[in-house]
Amino acid sequence: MTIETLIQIDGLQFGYKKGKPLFNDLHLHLKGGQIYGLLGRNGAGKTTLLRIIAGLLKPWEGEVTTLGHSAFERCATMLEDICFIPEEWAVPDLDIRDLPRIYAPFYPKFDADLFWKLVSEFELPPSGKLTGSSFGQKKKAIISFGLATKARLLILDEPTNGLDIPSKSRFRKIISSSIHDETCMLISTHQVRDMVNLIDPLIILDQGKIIFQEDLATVAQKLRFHVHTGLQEPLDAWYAERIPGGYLAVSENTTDEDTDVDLEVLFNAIIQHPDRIKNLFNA
Amino acid sequence: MDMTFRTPIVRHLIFRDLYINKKSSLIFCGVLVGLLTLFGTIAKMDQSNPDPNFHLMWYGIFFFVFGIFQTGGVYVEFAQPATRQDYLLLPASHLEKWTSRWFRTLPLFIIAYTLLYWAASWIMNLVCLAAFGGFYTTFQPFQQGIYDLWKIYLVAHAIFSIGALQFNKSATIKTALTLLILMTAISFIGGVTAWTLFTGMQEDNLIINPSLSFNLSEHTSYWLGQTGKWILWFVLIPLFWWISFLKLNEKEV
Repeated sequence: MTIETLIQIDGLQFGYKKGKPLFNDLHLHLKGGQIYGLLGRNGAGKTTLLRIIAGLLKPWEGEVTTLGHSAFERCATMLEDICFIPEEWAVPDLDIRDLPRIYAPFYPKFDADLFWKLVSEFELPPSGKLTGSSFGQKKKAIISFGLATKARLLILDEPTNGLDIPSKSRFRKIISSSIHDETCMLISTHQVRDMVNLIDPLIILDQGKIIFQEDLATVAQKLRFHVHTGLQEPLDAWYAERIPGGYLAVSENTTDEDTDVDLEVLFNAIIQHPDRIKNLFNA
Repeated sequence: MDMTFRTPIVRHLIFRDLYINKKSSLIFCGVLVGLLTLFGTIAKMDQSNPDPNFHLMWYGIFFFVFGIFQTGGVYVEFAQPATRQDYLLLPASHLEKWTSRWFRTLPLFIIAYTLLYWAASWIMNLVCLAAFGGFYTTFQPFQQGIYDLWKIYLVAHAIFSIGALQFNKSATIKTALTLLILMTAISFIGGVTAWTLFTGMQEDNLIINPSLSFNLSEHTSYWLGQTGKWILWFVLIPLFWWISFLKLNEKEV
């Protein structure tokens, strides 16, 4: 079975001020059946990119096709299949029971049983005003609703912000069990440790460009993540950061050793040596 | 531009709006009943005979004040990026979203407001009956004066619909100010133009030379008036609504 490309961005140009483009000729193709992790420094344009994909911002130039539709047209059939959970969202003055009553009619595939199952998994009270709930509880309610829409494209901006530790692991469990070949998830985050064993492939955005887009198996094949004990930084390290008793380092994998990818170390290595990494992965 | 139109979705959009705004709707009802009762009671105390235009005047004043504020603030969620995003991502076409708001602020508002005013007028009369032993005056919604108010409201609605989408915050006030500035500017430019053109032709204290005035026949005047009305109702008002629809399509976060 061919896996469909759900998001196709070609030659995107966009900015908030005339003459100062944030994205200049950006290309990105995302397929179904994957949970993409979108990483980048503050101000790299992650949220802007997510908004453009969801049709909330109009590109200056280029084509942005989301689920087969021109994104900015925001046609109803596209919106029915998108669940965008932004970092900051508006919670209407509603009881949690009202969420499916008021919003479900807009989503033809909405699964009320799944919604209540997720509400219970997140240990949310089955009733009570959303506006009076904590940030984390609101977020859990919105995530539960979003997953229950059974949308083909889930866009999550900093989804684990505000979640407590048990909720973060439940979130990972729920998200990983929700992915299918027809669905695609795009998670933008700074909390990479919350996303371990969840996001794959990885997309890194820097200065308005995609500087890295690889799956973690390829990363593990090309790079070696290791703990180096001692006071001296390992000589072969492309990037190393101090930890108690030594260094957490990443080097070129010349020995075909299979190591667990440390997303934070990988991110820092890519940001520091984009060209070196690019050459290694293009070789 | 997505022109899909599904009646159930429009209904859900209206239901969503009314449900979310139920508190402000209740406040609006309370304010209307309270003010009308207050003004009716004061009028009853002051006058032995009821003012025949009492209801027409207060119906019109409240109708325009509430109607304009409602239309100007119909896209109140655009004031904040988070609420704007929430609304723009609602899975409905632009036509469905626009129609639901148009329907809510025009036919639904007229019907609901008239019914509410009628109910409020009864409450006012019952208060007068309890306090003074008699009704002040009853409200008759089916009269030419009321129909004329509805027609004028169409113009205000069309203008304030554009303002609601043009300005993200305080749309009603900004639209009213823009309108005021535009009208003042047009009057000023018109005045200056007339003064410049005709100032040399003054004769017997007339700004405009009588030989320049038009003597239109009654028939021509009538048809000019009718044409003007037709242009207003069937060209300008739909054009303004169309502009507001296009503005909704182009809205970004």
